[in-house]
Amino acid sequence: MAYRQLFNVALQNSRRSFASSAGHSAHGESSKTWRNAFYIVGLPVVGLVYYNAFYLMPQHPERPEFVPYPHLRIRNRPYPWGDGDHTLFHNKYYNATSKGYDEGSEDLNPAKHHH
Amino acid sequence: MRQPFHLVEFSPWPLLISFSIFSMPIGLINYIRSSSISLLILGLFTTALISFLWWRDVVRESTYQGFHNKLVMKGLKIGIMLFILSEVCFFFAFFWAYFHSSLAPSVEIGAIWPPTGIFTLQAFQVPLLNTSVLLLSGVSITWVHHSIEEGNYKSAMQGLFITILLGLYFLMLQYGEYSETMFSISDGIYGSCFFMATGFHGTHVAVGATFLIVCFFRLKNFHFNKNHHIGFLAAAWYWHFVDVVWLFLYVSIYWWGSFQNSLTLKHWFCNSTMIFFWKKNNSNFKKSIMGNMCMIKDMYWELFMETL
Repeated sequence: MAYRQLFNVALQNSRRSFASSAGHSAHGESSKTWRNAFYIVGLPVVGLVYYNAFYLMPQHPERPEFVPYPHLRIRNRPYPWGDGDHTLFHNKYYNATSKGYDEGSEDLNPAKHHH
Repeated sequence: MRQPFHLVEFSPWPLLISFSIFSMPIGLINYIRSSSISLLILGLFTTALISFLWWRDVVRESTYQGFHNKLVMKGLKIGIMLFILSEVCFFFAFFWAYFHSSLAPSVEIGAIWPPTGIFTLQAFQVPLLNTSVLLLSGVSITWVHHSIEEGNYKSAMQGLFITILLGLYFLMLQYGEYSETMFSISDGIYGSCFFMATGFHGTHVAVGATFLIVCFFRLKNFHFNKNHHIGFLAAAWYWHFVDVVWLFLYVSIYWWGSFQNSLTLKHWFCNSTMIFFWKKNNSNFKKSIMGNMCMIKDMYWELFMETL
């Protein structure tokens, strides 16, 4: 019967939270509290984090030199698409194939296309 | 419904979806090994179709037939809890793989984490924005929940719309991140762990957003009331679960996993051990150690510059 007690405890907890929020609803205020938390606290914080991510932090670093490490760019069998050497989210500037960076990709740094 | 069991209608979907789910991994393996994609597409399509039909049936049972009495509601809640528990186990496995490989990094990857030659994403750039967006969506979905329980239709619609937008924004940001990573899924254990964990998390966000969109249209059509909104409750629990998984991913993979300049005695010990083995003169091995040493030099330089 232990499992039954466990389920009952879990359900009582959910019922209790249910009941307490229903109790609040008599005053009709708890959704306003959460809506205010969203608009007054949440949105400005996310705005700041957005500003930090796109305007304060460094964007689009230079790519590292290609080194044919044996533990990277593993191709046990070719990918079933394309030439079998480019990954699904292949970035011409940042991602090398097993043979190295694609030819003519040195000037494709996304930072250069911003201005 | 005058019997004490959780029985609603006979349903063909559990059996049929088992077949279609099974054909997805088989189809994926077939695609990878023999470049034939048809079984994978069939599996994905039939799974999506059966999910749609199954959900439609549950909505009908609940909203139009009124079969969801107290007992059935209880059963559904237990079912959702157990489902989320199984999802916890699913993600636990990926975290296990990640910590197994990162806490004692093997010699083959340079005995450091992130591995030699891996340049991680900046944790305090877009990943932090992703974290805040998901946390904000957790606030807005709670706002929706309270609105539904108060019977405030308009407020609930607004909040749910915003929550869906935040979920879609998260997916957009993740796509942007994926297309600018300096590593790929085939870059050894780091790439495998990173893309396995974050990729499955992303698909879960997509499923959660779909669930919320379904709830949005059900809310619009007055399917929910103050004390009977199990469909929304399930979507909210699922959404919170996906949110919590992201917090763990963020802290352990994006943040802790990018401590390139937090050199400790452990790292020096590993490297001195490796220099000892270097005398084996394996050229590949030599190359990877050289890379490792260069990186450690660079890390110390960065650390030095940061302290200035």
